[in-house]
Amino acid sequence: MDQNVLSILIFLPMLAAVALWLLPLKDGNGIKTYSLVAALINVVFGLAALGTFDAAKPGYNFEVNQPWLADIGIHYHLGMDGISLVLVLLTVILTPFAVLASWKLINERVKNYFALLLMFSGAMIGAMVSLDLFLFYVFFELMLVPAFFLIGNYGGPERVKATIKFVVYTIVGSLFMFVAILYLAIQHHAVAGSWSFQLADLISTPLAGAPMWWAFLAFVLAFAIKAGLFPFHTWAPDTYVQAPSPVTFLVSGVMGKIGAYGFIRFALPLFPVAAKEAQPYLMGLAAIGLIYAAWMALAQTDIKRLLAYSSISHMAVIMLGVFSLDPQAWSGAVFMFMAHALSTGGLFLLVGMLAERKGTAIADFGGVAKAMPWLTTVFVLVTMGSIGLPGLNGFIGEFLILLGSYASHNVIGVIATTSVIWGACYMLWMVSRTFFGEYQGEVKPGKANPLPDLSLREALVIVPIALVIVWTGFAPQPVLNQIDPSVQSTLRTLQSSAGMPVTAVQAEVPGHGGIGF
Amino acid sequence: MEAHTTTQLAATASNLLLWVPLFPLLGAIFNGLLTLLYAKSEHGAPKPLVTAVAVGAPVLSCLVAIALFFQLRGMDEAARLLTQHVTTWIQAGHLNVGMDFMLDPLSSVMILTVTFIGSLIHLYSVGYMSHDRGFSRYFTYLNLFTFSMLVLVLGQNLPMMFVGWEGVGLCSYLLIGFWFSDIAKANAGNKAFITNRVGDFGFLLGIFFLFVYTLNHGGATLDFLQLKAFFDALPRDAALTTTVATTAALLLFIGAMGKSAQVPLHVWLADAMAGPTPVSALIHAATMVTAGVYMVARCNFIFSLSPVAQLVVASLGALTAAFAATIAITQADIKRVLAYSTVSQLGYMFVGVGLGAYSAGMFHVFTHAFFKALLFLGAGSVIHAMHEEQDIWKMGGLKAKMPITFWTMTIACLAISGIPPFAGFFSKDEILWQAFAGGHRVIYGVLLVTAGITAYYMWRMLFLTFFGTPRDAHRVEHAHESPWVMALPLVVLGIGSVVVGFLGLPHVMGTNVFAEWLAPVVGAHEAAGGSATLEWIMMGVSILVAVAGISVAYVRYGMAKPASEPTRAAWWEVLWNKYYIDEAFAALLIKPLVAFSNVFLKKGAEEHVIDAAVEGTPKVYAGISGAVRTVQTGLVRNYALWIVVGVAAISVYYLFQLSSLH
Repeated sequence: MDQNVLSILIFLPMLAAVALWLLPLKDGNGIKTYSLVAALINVVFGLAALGTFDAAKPGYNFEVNQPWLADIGIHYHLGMDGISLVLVLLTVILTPFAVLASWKLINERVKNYFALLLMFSGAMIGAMVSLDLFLFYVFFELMLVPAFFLIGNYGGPERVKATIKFVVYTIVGSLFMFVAILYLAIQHHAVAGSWSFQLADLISTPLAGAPMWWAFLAFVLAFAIKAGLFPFHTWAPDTYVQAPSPVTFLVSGVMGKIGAYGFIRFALPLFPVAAKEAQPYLMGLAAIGLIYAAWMALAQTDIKRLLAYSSISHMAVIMLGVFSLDPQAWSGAVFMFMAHALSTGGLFLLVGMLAERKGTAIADFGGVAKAMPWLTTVFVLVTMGSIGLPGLNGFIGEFLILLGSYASHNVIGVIATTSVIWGACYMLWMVSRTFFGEYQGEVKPGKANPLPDLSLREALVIVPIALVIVWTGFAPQPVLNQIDPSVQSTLRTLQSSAGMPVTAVQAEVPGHGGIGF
Repeated sequence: MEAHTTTQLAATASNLLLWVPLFPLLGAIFNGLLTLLYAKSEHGAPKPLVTAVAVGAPVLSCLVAIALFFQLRGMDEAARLLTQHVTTWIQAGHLNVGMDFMLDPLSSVMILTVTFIGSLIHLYSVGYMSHDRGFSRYFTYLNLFTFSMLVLVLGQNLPMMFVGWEGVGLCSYLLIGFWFSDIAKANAGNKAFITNRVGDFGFLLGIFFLFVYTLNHGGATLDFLQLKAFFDALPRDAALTTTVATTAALLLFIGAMGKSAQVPLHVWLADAMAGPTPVSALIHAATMVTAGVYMVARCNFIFSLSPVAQLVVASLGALTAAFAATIAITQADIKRVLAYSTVSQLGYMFVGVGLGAYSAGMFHVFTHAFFKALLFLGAGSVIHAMHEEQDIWKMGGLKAKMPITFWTMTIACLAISGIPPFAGFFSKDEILWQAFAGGHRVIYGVLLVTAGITAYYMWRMLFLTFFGTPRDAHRVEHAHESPWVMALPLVVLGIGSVVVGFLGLPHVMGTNVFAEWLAPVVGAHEAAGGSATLEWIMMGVSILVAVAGISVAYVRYGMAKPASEPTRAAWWEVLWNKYYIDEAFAALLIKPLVAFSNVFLKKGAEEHVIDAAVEGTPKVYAGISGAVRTVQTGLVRNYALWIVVGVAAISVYYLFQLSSLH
């Protein structure tokens, strides 16, 4: 089980997708149920992995390392640490939510849609646990294919334009990275005399000078685009708006994080010296990006578009944390993978529910809290999570990141901390214009309501997300316990190879409020 | 290191602390679920059940708080510290924040005030909100507020305090916008939240600064006890110590300015009056808005090291006191008069803590909670009787109709005006005396004049509301005294407004029990210079100024009985419009930001620079749009196919290349 669990997590949804294409299922509900069951089985495996995961184990859990294309040193090398654990669990657990959220929305070409959704999920998990760069690249590209189809075939009226943008951006970025990967392998071969694409091997033969910079920039480009980092973000608003809400939920909630994860796992450890030197610029870019996107959000009149910029702004906060190379900020960034996925993803699902009722323009609404008290309550709660209210999980990530960025570079930290103001502005203004004010319709018990409140299915989708937002805000430590050891050891390795001061190992102070001197 | 090992050891563990905030939290969860379950029913959740839980929660907290107070009092003076470590909250990297609560004499005063006055206001609300459809939702928020406020006060480290800090902000937002069908009220909630966020920006930076500084100098901590040990161990009178303390203090103070509505972050408080009146009493007068003062007192070991920060706090307090008082003399809305009065009184409190007279500042927090809550509840009683009328120019002659309300409000007006032996006299005068004896003559002068203005505007309100002939005969005719659930809290607070002042007697009269109680936390502060005779004289001066203020109000409003505002001069217009600060903010900050975002970013940078650069290599773009035209729907499929094929081809090509390199 330990050996196979990662492979199961990747290929179970993929095989389920292939089987779905082959099976003679015609009935929409049958297909949906099948997909839900497949996704839920994967949840069971995901939880089993969590159950046996040992955060204290150095290196990786559930490691598999088999030669794949042995001639050129390509390995089927998978492994999971605390950082990938968070992402994998997110993907695994959010997939059934995406299936449920699509239930009413998708009524044509149903089979294709759900098969693609499962495919997408499996490929993302693959990218999160690959420890061989070639293998990683395969999954990294593979996950785009179902995404293209999902957006292009099931999206809104401007879906073609959105898909083209998505394609151009991501392909351009990842092709450069592919070239850089090959170059790294060639260099490794030149130094070590053997072929390898394995991360550990390539880290052990670092580049220097101009080749290092070119290769680093190629990685940066690929991951910055994926994470929607300013100024490579403009694919995101179009994609998020045009894609069906459940797909936006997965793309913004999970796929974007792979960009940030790529920096932590690959780009920064492979090029520690470049990372250190580029740090102020990258942090600056993230800080500009988070303010830029927040101000863009202020100017939006469409809820979905506003949320797209909000998501970009929060992703910039995560990137800021990653570039801080700071122990607090890194744990915060990985924690925020989860927090951001739940709050931004949750908001996209909620706005999908609004869209099914009326639309996504703020002007379509006004005062609807009266008609939809449950939906409003959940919406406000998730909004508060998104703007980082303490007691909800958004705060934990944001606090650690801003704290760490301040520790790392105080001027940038101060600039970035203004985000607590902007976030409140655009989110609260949107919420009040959408939900508050005088309601034009009529609400009477027993009468048909043009704006029905949450249905049972919708509640099943969104209420658990809201509860997790509260729970992990009150009790973040169980999550941080999984994250922190991996983050700290990865960071220490990076710091020592970059010639930076290395974070001291923390003495455990059990049951104690603060840290002793 | 030694120092805080000792501090740690001196604390006594207690398992009761958690219950103080827990009862209201459980109440909030219970009523919250009930609200949602009954969201669709016509009458809402069953009121007796909601009431029992909602009022019971703060009462239970209050009982625990009293028990804890006596436990604390029974302990050795130096050892008065109870702590409870619930669990580790955030531990990542060097940061280790415990879910820790701490009760010392300072927080004990606050939890007693919050739970006692909170209980009374919950009770009052049962009457005030009895006809409101949102009855159970209201109490959910009110309990949640009480919980947050108690976490703020009891939190043993800055992040825990911040949890409460933002939590009360959230409840304030929810309660200001409680009647959300009125968009103006919802917007007032937004304004409160966002303005507070500006303050929180400073608070967060203060936390970050302290974290990084302690991290680099021995070990990161945000725990109050450890921070105190850290600052106590810094070399006195060293330039670096002062710089560190000044930076930390001023950043934290920005947070206090937001929460406690100090100029220029005061703009939200008057608008916050959009909320139900008991909310204004509890949150926007008695408790939440004093959190900033409490924070300064809590961090006294930082502020005391920085004369600059202290001067800033005291000066801004004095400025705010005068600024808000002058606005209050023109306002027509009874709640707005009280709101500006609160801003002004908060200024007094900041002068107290800013001058290092922490117990004087906190004493004013304590007494003000009684008489200002009373004033708001009295105003609520009037508004209730007048069927939601808040304009004092439409009142008049209510004295006979509402005797309990009238008499209790009169007591409160005497208290806030500083007439002995009412509570406000002792606390306000202590601050004045500290300013005078400390040699801060300008601050003293400003506060003295402001005291006169305060007496004037409070009695203007009282005369216009209760005296003379009714200006709206019909409504006043039908006005009647409030039911007992509302009248009882008025009476209790009225008694409080008379007696609590005696806890803080000036030392020429006896013992200042209050200051002695706080001394272990904030130190005993004796203003330098100043003899007993001088102190008596200054007291006399204060009383004279207060009487003068009341007299002028009587002449202009009580005796003259004007039907409308007698002056409309230019200066009056400026004050009526609150010095045009809101307009200035809108014109200088908000509009430019929105315009910049709309025009420069949205229509400019995003579309014409970034997007253009991406799509814009003209050939690529032309090619793609050509493809769009010809292939239409099949495009995406083809495109994706081409990508797959392309990636595969490139991969295969490179694989062969690599293989041949063998």
